[in-house]
Amino acid sequence: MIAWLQSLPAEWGNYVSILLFCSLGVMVWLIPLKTITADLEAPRKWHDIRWWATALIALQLVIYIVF
Amino acid sequence: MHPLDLVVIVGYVLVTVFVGLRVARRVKNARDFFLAGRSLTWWVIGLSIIGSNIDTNSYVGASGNAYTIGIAQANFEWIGAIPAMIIASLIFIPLYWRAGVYSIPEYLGLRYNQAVRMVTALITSLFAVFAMGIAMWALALVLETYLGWPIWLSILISGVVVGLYSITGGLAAVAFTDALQVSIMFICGLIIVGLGISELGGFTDFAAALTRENPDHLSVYLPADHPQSPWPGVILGLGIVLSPAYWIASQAILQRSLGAKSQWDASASMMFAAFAKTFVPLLIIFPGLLALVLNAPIDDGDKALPWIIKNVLPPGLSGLMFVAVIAALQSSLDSSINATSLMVTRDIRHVLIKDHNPDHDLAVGRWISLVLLLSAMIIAPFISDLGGIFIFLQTGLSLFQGPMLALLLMGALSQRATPNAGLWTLISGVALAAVLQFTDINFYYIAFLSFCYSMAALWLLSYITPGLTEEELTTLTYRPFARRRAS
Repeated sequence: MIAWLQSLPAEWGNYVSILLFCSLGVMVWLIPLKTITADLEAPRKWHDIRWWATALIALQLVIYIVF
Repeated sequence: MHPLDLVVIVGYVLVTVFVGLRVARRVKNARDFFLAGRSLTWWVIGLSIIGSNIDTNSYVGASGNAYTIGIAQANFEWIGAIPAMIIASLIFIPLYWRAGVYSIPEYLGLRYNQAVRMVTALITSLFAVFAMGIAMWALALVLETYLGWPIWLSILISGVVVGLYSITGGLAAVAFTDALQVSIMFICGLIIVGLGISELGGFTDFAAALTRENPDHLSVYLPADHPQSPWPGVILGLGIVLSPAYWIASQAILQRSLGAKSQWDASASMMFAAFAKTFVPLLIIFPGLLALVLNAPIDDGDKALPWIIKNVLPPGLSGLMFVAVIAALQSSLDSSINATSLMVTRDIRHVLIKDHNPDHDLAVGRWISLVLLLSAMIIAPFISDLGGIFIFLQTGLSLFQGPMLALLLMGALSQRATPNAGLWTLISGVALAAVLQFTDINFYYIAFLSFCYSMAALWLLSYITPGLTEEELTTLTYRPFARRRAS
């Protein structure tokens, strides 16, 4: 299997990374908000760290598309 | 040394010790010492996480690797960190927080058994002592190049400064000094980037000069048959095993999140740290690339950063950058001392000594911190000729991170994993990784293979060994992703 992996072109690394980050983006939004803000009395919009995660993932997508 | 540099360095040391000792006055018991009394806010923890993560090994070793392989080294900060940090933030940190544990081995002890708790604490503590020694040696390399100080003197001074605040102040002192140190690191790193780019006539000229003789140095992935950084190995070994194992299981990293004042602060701290982590390559990768473009006359990539500090930066800034490297050492060292002291005090001592007195934890923790610091200082001068620092550390981590990750993933996300299956998987998984070290398989693949073995072994062994009750599993597994057992 390792020999087969070593025959794959380097660009595939970028494609696999982009796919991984997109999958992660979907997974993030499957997590219920109440499990994130469980101990906050009056959670505000910016307390929803799923948005933080989405911005991070977008940043990573740019990196793996550009480089 | 220029007098301005000396003023900057002395000023930094005084401010760090002052902040650390001031926070130290709040420590009244073991909870204050190890978890900062659960009072830390998200942005302090986030900066502290990055401070613990970036060490002198990163500065010296990663700059050296960037000099050799280019921007591909940044994968340790991107695909090799961000996905795992997001998962840790949203799934694992809330789980640890709700379980009310002090440490990751303590969680494993609750989820599996006390033997698993002690074995994981023992393995990670031994590795931490060794890593602390390597960190001190790495700093000595910088001091030797920059100041001409003998190795023993730099180790002695660093040890005394770190010991002053970490042994007295515990996690709170560590977290606040880390936050200060990371701020200094980012300021210095950004100044180097600005000066380097402007000296070379802008980013386009820099990129052209870099890729003229090194066409792959701006490619994030190297060919799949690259001996040091094959891209499938980076994704499978680093992205899927080593990175999650580090960000989900590292006590030195997660301890400050467990010291957060709320579950939300704990989760947000890791997400904030992930934002900072995205920009860390500017601090630790760029100097290596800059040394290459400037044709630095060095025979070893690990000397790229010291060369940049000595030859590129003007007086004052040179001292500030030097301070950033010292800060990198201190922030990682103090975190390792506190985390390892916690594991020895609670996860090993509490298991071995059944009639221990928890009231003694604070005093015992401080003494163990001192012993750990002295051990690292004694080991440091003997660590040399190991090859690239970064590769050596990652190879060591690949020994046990695969099995530990399997135990955490299956333990947290599934109700199937059983205590005895966990113990035997841990022991046999580490043994398998150790045997594979004697082959010519890259350490990324070793980590991946030992992880796959451990997942399969844990799954299969759990069929033939008794598990925990539904009630016991309630606070120890992540319910939205866990399958309920048919009763």
